[in-house]
Amino acid sequence: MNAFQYLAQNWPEVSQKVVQHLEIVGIAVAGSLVIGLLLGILVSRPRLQTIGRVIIAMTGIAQSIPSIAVIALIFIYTGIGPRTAIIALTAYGIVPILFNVSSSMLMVPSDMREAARGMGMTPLQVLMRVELPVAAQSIMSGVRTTVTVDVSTATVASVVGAGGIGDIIFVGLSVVRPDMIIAGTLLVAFIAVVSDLLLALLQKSVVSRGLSTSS
Amino acid sequence: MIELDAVTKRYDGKTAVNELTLTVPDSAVMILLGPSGCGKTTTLKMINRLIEPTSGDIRIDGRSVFAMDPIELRRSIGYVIQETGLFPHYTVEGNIGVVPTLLGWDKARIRRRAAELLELVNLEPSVYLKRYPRELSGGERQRVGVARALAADPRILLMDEPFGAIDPINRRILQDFFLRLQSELKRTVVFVTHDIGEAVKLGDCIAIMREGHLVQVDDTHTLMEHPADAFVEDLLGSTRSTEQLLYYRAAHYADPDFTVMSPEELQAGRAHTDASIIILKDGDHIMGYVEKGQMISCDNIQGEACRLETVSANATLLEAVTILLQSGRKRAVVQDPDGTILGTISISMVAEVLGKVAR
Repeated sequence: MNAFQYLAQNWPEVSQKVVQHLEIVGIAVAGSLVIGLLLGILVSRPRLQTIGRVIIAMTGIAQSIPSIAVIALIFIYTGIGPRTAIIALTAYGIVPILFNVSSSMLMVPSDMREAARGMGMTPLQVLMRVELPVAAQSIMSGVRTTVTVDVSTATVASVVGAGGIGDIIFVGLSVVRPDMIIAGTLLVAFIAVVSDLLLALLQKSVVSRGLSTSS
Repeated sequence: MIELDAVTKRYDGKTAVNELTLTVPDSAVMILLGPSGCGKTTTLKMINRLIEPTSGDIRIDGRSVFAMDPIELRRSIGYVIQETGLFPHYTVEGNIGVVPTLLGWDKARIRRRAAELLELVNLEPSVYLKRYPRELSGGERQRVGVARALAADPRILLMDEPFGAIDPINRRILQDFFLRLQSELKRTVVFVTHDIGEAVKLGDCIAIMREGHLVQVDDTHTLMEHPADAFVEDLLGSTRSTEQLLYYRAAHYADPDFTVMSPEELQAGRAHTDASIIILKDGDHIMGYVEKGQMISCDNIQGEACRLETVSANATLLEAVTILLQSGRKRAVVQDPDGTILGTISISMVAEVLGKVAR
């Protein structure tokens, strides 16, 4: 049996795994986005910018930690189930978003901020109308990285009983079924590519044409 | 009227502005001039409370700005900084619409206002409304910056080295543009610069600052005739004759001995006057010039050869010379921002001034 035959014959079961996979990734990305965005905005405030620079330096180290280590560590506290995967992926996915938000916000020119203030924007208006839109390109890139990483890492989360497409691959591994391994891999890759494509479209609509580098 | 009353700003024991007292009359352009670090920008930013002074009071039309909500205060004052202050993610329309949006204007009104302002700053609305700042030249961006500051029709404009990042030729064009605009709009302007030529050209009054102190405030000519101390003298470069040219205005030296004629009158043979003749078509289009006692030197007065350069009445002599040399003509017409012809100026007249200075 080849991978496509496997997928066709087991579609009810496979589709259930796909939905589980998407759920884990969806919740984790949302969590990372909220936390990463809030933290990133916080550390780019004038008074906290020193902390911001330290955090940016630290995210580099955080990114070098293997995702499986984070999952294993969380597993010790939360045990078997999707919850462990969601918490681990959320924590792991904060890193690229936080890095991109804080670094791009710190790069918003200070005289642009001051022009906004000087024209009578409240601090919240400066954030919503100037800082975030100007940093949007980079923030969206961070989100895309997180989504791509989460889609593939969620596969590994199968080892803590989180379900998802990883189950297909791991079962294939234990019963030596290359068709299952390839089927699972193709699914994960397909989801990663499609979600990144959708996000690229979203990025295009969110980021002002005035900011894109090519004209 | 803006009154600064013993305004002081200290940062961690360092005094940026010290007991500064200054009155900016209505409809006047007050220049804050001085070397970098003299406190001129700090002073400007205290007026719209971007910086809060340590002590002292600032009043606008008698009302203390500290009794006002800083957000509302800033919305009521136009603020222009270098071209980098435009928001890159907004179109020209969006940029001009920033303050009106904050004030809650509806979209149609903002669009009308943006188009109106673009016309005022000589940018074609249908071309520019939908452009983004990166699609504009430096000079165009700066015009949009001025239009943006004027959006909600503020009576006061604060300008912080607005033309500082522009190349010299475009800076001169922008300065002339600013003078024309100001002669029309008559706003109360506080303008920060470190360029003496710009100060002399644009300012009704110049306040010279040094190390946080106000050294002297006077109109341009008083300043030039009676510098308060050696610092002001040095700053104005009065000891060096070429720089003398910087701060004498062309208008003071324009030769007022001229008659205006239309091309038709001239061709009708009425060119034998005792004065020089400026040929003016349709009442405002300067076509040429005939020297006193000479016959028309151009065969075709419509031709390019007769075209005269114009110099703004506020321009300095240095600028007038530059224009004359660049155009390769002997004479230029000195014209008020509102179009009134004050007279003509020539290289030899400037040389005469130089001669006097050298003596």
